[in-house]
Amino acid sequence: MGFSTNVFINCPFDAKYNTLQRPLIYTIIYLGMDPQLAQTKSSAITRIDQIKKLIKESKFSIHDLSRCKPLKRNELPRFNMPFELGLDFGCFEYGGKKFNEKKMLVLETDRYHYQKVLSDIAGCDIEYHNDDPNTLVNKVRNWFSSIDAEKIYPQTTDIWDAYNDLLRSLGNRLSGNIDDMPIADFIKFAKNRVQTFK
Amino acid sequence: MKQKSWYTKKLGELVASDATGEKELGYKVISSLSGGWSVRRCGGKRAVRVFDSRKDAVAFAKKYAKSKSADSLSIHDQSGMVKKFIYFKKTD
Repeated sequence: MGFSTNVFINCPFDAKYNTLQRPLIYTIIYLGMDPQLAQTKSSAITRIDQIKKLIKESKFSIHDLSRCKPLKRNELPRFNMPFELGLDFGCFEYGGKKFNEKKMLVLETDRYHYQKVLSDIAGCDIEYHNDDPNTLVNKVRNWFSSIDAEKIYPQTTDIWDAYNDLLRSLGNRLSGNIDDMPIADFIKFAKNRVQTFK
Repeated sequence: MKQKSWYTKKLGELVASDATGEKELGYKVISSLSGGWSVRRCGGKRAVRVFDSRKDAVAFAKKYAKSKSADSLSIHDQSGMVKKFIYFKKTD
């Protein structure tokens, strides 16, 4: 594991996003990659330094901008995600030769929302997931597959099926509500399981 | 505040060992990419059957799993979370 398999994930860390964050992370693990989230790292260094470090250590990155808009009336839009996308883009553009091979996927809820709020990123790899976890798995799987045409990737159905099986096992084995499980623990369970049946 | 850890080596191994699917015969109802609902055997490669509605899939799965002497049936929601777990009593 290292730069060529690290996938920096820039997404919201709130409970409402759990239904998308977990299948996203599971898909990355299933495809043999290593998800990198600032949330799971040591708090010994500042958050922004942690993010910069993860960006430099990851060849791939997935930026989900679907929560950059207020979900409720009187709620403020969140700018962390587009800011981190900007940092990553800066690394790609000005970071030197090593970072020229960086690959970025931008996710949105619907097809054209980004054009209204961040039209400068037109031309990047942008996909939409309709807030549907299964669609998200499909888009992420297909994106990796499009980058490496030589490699044969598992079908979306297989990934989704295995993800549902993992949730079934966790529900069966654990007494608490899985929604409350820290994402770092979910990653450990997922890695352990994928290593076992692959 | 530091969150409590859910993962232990032992639990991780148990959850991982479920993936081999040799210990029990389980079925599940899960959403499919096409928008329908599929009935699948845990660890199986293909859907037993796909339905337009979750309700129809659940009704079929209950009967089918019983007819196959399955140990359990899990019914998942759109996000993959298990909404209901049914254990079947075995009669010899």
